[in-house]
Amino acid sequence: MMEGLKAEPSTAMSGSLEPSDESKLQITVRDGEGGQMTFRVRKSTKLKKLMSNYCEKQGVAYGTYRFTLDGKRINENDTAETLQMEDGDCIDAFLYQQGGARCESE
Amino acid sequence: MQPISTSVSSESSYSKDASTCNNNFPPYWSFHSEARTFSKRQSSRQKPTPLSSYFTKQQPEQRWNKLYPDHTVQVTEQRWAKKSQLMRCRNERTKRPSTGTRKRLHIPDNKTLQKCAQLHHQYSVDLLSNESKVQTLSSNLNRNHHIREPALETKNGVSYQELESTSKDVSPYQSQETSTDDDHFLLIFPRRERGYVTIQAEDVKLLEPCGMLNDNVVDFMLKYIEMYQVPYKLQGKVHFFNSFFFTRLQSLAGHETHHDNIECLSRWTNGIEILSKKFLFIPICMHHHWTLAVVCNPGNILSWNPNYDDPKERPCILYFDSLGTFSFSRNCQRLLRSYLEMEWRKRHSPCQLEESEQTFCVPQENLVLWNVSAPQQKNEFDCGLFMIHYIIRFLQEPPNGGSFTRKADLRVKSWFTDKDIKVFREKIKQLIMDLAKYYASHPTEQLIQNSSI
Repeated sequence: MMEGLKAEPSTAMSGSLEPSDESKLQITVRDGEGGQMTFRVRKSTKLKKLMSNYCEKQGVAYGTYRFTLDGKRINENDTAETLQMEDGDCIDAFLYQQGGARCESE
Repeated sequence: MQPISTSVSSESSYSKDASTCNNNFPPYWSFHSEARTFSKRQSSRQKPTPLSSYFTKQQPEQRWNKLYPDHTVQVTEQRWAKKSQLMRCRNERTKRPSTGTRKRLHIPDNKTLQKCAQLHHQYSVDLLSNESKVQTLSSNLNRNHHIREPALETKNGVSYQELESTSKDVSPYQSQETSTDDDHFLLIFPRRERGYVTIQAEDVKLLEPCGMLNDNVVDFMLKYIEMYQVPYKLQGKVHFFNSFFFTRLQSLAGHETHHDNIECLSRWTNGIEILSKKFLFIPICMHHHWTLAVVCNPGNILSWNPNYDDPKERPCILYFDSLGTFSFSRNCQRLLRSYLEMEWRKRHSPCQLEESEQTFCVPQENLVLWNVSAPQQKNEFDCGLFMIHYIIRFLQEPPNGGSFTRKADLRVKSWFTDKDIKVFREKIKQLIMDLAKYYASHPTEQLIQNSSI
């Protein structure tokens, strides 16, 4: 569905800071269906910005997706720097999971 | 055969007995003395604290002063002021150059710490007040619940607009400096590790009767069990995958045209020798149903021989389904087999492998899947609790003493009863509340200081 969808929300994310900054990383967010979205993020920017931006682009509320880097959850206060992310790293996005009993209409 | 309510293992911190609490962790029940006196006093005024009062976030000073014109609050505040002052001093002393990122990785920055402290302060003060702000709480919860709903029908513009405005309302990501945005976290666990789980008020609400557990609660419990509930003889020999692992595995295997293959999953377990473990616990959430797969002896998938080897070392998968349908088990076996094959190939460099082993396939009989007949749920909402309870009981008392040779041996119907599940629900809720309270009274700095000694 979202195959090949590329977003460059760099203008939205850089805010009032200077636009040309070599410390920006290109980070790809993948979902379970093979869709990808690429973001350019400053190293010191909180990843919450990326996460809420992604949710917004997907048309869902913030908190619907959980984000992990190599299986570890990404939290709002993490930055690319604290997670030691590199250019081209991938983040996995998961829909939040809830379960009680099997849905019979599967 | 003991029910969980009496908590079997002696080293578990689940016990209400204060004497079992050691210094390493944290007293599950016995907090610092002040908290105890508070709760005593509380109970004399009104029976149990309503759940809602845990979540109220407004400053209760005014109300407090009206209710208790004594100095208790001031004492608490003095204590906190002293602590934060101490913290500040320590921060100044221990400022490190930014090159030491590896060391600092696990420690939240000072600002966060102080924020946490303040936040927890608010909660701890709130805990003392008996007056519950049901109004505020319910409106909060409703609001949050609304946000949580995945907007699947966002095709029509109206609901999209609504969601848009709500999400902006809650997450003001425009302003980078304002960091009051994480005050909706009730608990951060484990707080000294990267990738911690955050529990929010609406997650706790799922623990009320008839609530269905979500990934936050499940991951929190898995982490808690991993840290404090593993028996001594199994410590270091078990691994808990988080609730997204299997989802990822399935999505990778299900899409042939996917950009990545299954090998990227090996990064999930960097630094952990999966194949040297005794048990791997894999929670599975499929079609709104939690089930559990336990891989036993994954290291022997190639070498085990039924004729010579110890049946206790047999590699196999035990599958627990509280509904008893087991319709996902075939798929589960296939996926886990391909994952373990990949792990095996990764951990053995090509030069070590012989020609035949490089393109090996785990023989069918060496990784059998057995459906375990365990206690079953009789409703539509308890499967998450059953799943967690299976793990706890499995650690305490594996089926058939840990040797899995025949399916007939795997009968554990008497592990626990429905009543235990009901109690378990309450216990998890209480655990989250108590941890939140405990962390409030023990700032992170202090814990780091203690643990480094």
